[in-house]
Amino acid sequence: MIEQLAGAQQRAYAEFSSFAERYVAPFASQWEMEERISRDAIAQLAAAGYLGCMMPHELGGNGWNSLTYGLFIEALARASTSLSGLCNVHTMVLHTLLKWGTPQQQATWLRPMIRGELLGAFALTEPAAGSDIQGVSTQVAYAGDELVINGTKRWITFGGLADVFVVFGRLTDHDAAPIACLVEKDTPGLTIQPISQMLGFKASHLAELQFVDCRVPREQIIARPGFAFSYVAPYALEFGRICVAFTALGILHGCLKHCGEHVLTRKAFGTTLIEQSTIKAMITMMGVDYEAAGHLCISACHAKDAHLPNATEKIMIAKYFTSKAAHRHADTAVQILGARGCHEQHPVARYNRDSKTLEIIEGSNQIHEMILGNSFARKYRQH
Amino acid sequence: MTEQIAGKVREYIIINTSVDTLDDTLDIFDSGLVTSLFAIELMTFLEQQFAIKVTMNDLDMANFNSVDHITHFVEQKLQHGAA
Repeated sequence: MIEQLAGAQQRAYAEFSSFAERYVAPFASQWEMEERISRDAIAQLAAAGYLGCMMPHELGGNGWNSLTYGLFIEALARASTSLSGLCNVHTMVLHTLLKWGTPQQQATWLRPMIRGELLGAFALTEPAAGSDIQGVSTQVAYAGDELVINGTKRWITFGGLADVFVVFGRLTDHDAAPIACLVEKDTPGLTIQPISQMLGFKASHLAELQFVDCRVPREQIIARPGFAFSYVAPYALEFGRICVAFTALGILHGCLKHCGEHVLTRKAFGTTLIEQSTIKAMITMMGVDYEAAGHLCISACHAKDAHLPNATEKIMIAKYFTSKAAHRHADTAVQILGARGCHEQHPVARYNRDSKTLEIIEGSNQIHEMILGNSFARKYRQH
Repeated sequence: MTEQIAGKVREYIIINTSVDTLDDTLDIFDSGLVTSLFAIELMTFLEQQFAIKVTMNDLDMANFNSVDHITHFVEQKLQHGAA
């Protein structure tokens, strides 16, 4: 993949990889066991300017394009997918505010979030509503100058650590119009309950948010009621899918690194593993899928950075292909590594757990099939 | 100018749907011609094609639901400096 990048991108990628190897990789297993990420690591991200992803320089952001962001996520996810998850949700909230926030909301939130003083999370999923966001049922009522929120959000990535949430719900009147608003973590009526013992992304501070007559000022509405599901959420989820695609790419890369080292040195039946045809086939498929996934991810970012309308579809294709490939080859990597790959603290064991999650989040891969299947049939039909 | 904008919008919608012709007054969302998933792609197309920026103040379905309405919206944005 690296040879597809321009010189500046290659240097940025080397910088990100160095950061991840120094500040993330040595601690990732510990974080997973403790089901928490240290504040030190987040402070390091902030100090390096890595929490202002793709935000304009004039706001103090790093001014990256989406490809640079993707390369950063690839390097980070190889070391800790949980930490890449933090960047994901934080970035989605930043871009929601940059695109749809009022000037007052932007003035209040963007700079502290870019500096990493405040962390954001995306509160969309509910116990009975995941990929089908039309099922969201959290109630939002107008009450004078305030909104009153009642409902439950579940599986909220970094919900246990974030300072501010973008919360999605439906108005109690106005034809149940979808609405999004900002809610600070200490708002009375909001209770945050950590969720533990997840299969993957164990250090992602997953949480359930309970809203019981939770009141926020009406000025915290994002965009306009009626557009939360059709504009606000989909706009943010594009950034989320870029992150998931590159997280999966990082997992593929990590699998290749660990497996490459192992098959070139480990001997069985008098030869190294790579001399055995079944192992060659496994590594070939892993490497080819990594290269193919890299092309799809880079192509999606080029479309996004050129502001092309087909970026939405290209990003979905990249997320779909790469997350499936990552899970397939993380499974292969455990097989190749044998018993050591089954140890909870080995990176490929973590890749195996985390890659399953990637097939589910930011729109399950089945939702992607519903959309992409229709699109491909229409695009390539024979006239 | 109006027809140039309408022509580009009409062509884009036709390419992305299963129709050969398009009534400029048809509500593309209510008619089921496109789903809400198309909204972001259409927004990106308009921003890129006409160098405008869709903001929260523009979020009104009446701006995006037909070729005629989209054309009017784009013209208004261009007259008021795009942003």
